[in-house]
Amino acid sequence: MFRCLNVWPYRHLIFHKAWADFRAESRRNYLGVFWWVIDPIFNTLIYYLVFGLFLQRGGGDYVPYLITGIVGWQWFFAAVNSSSVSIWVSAPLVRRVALKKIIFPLSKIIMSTYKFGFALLVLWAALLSYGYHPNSFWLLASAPMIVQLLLITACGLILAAIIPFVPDVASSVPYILRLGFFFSCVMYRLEKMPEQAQFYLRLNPMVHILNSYRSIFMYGRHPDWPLLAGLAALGLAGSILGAALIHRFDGAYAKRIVR
Amino acid sequence: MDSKISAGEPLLSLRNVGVSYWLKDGAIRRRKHYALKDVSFDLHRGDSLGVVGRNGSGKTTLLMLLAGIMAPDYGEIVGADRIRASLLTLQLGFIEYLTGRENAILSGLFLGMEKKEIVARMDDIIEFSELGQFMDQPISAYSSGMRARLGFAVAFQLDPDLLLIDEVTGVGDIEFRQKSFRMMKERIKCENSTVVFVSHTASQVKALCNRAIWIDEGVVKQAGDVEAVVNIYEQSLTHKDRDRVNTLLEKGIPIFVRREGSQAIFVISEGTMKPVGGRDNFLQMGGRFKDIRVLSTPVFNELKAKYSLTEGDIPTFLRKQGEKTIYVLRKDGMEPVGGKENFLKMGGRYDNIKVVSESTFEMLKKGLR
Repeated sequence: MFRCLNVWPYRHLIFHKAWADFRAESRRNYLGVFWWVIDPIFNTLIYYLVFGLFLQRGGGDYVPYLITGIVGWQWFFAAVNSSSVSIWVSAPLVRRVALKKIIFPLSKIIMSTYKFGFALLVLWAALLSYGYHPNSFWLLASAPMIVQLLLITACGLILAAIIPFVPDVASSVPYILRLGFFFSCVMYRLEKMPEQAQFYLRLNPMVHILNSYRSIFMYGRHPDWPLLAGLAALGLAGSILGAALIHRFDGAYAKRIVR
Repeated sequence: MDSKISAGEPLLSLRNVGVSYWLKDGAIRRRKHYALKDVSFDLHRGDSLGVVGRNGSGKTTLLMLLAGIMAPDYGEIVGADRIRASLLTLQLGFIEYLTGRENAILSGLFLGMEKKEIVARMDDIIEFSELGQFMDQPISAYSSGMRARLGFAVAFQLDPDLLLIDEVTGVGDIEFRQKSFRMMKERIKCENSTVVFVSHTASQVKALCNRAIWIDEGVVKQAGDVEAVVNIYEQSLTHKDRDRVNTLLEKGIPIFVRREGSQAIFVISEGTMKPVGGRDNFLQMGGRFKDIRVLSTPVFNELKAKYSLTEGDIPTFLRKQGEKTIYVLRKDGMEPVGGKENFLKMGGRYDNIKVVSESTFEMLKKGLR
């Protein structure tokens, strides 16, 4: 059953492909990797202008609150968005070589994680400039990061497995992700929402992930550990399901994907 | 080499294998199409098996099946799990903004090589592709010929138990084309390599393979010694071609034909057959590339005889060994083509240029045949 998870023989390919996509993207324009530094800053600036200045929402620590959410969300968005279509768009490769198809979503997830590394540096610089000093407590943030990685892998693999058979799903992924963005408490606070809305928002795992980062980086508080453990289990189960689906359909992708 | 396989035992055997696709029939309705219905054959180590058949007969599906890219719907492939089979693919997974070296590693990994293996062979790849310092330039700066050279150099490093080739064609400019074509031939003819080779060109299969199978509408029509199989296949083609051409001729519209393996296009209209002479001419005559009938050599020769088209009407292009100037040979003598433009206008193709020795060249020049 767990044979589908054995990607060890493909480790060089997965990482080289992730690195290659990363290199290619950084060479595409003059500013290269700086765009990944600029991206979270610009995004934060836009939402700060709209919600912080014009609508007068947010409160005193709005900028650090916002940028923590944006950096976390952007990782989820980029990884799921690129990995979900990865098998489908790799048709020329899928039809020419016998490979485990799981390498396509995995390399996209790894590439997005590299980018997240850059955004994390921006986040820390921003927090520092707002008077939050790095301390050993911040290391705890690696826990929600691992949980988020598992959730990304779950969504990415499951979507990547089914999109070649139902390409229409690919068209709906950006809408679902945009909806996810508005329901993940990136630019507003969960506690300020009406009671009933809070109930529904709590069903979204990303709300808890982003709030865990904020707890650790901004408030020096422990995240909700049992909840994170539950989400980790969910992410792991989803990842295994996704890997199993891709493994199950392995021989069928070349037939379904017609250029 | 796998010690588990004894001398007499086949490397791979296909037993009543079938593959189906779902084809779209309107918005929702789907139709099951069997690309392969019932295919059985054995493949032994050192074999070079040619696969012949018309377009859409299932040849490419068969290669994908052997490569492990697709799983059969029914039947079994015995031995597939103990060998490494690869479909020769050029420029697999190339990414624009990466350098030649980075792409060589990526492509090699996709082809199933180990990273160490590719890095160790990098000097060979650079030498073979003749890229030199360009190797560390992004391939977006390459010409298509340079890309083709790199693609070939990488793919050629591959040494699987079973090599699968979909059409043998040279790539790149004239010189590299000849070199790559020669290398391919050597690889196929080599006793240690097991090759399955798909081609439209019957003569190529005869020249390169020792065994052949003929696939038609998803079933094996003939299998065995290459000469026998290809001959039967050609005869059947000849019958079909002849029927098709005759039907078209009865309609009285101009038809465009070419002989298989040759690129020179001829037009038959109003009781004459003559060479079209270049792409521009062809388009001006109202020709569409998809309408060109590719004829087997016997049928083509029959037509030539019927319309008393002599060798001299068909321009032959040649050059003296070691020299670049291309000459065109006609009924009334030989003259230099005079530039690329002219050459293309006359319907010349670089891969059809004959290279002749100095003495032959002088003989032809004097008008002796």
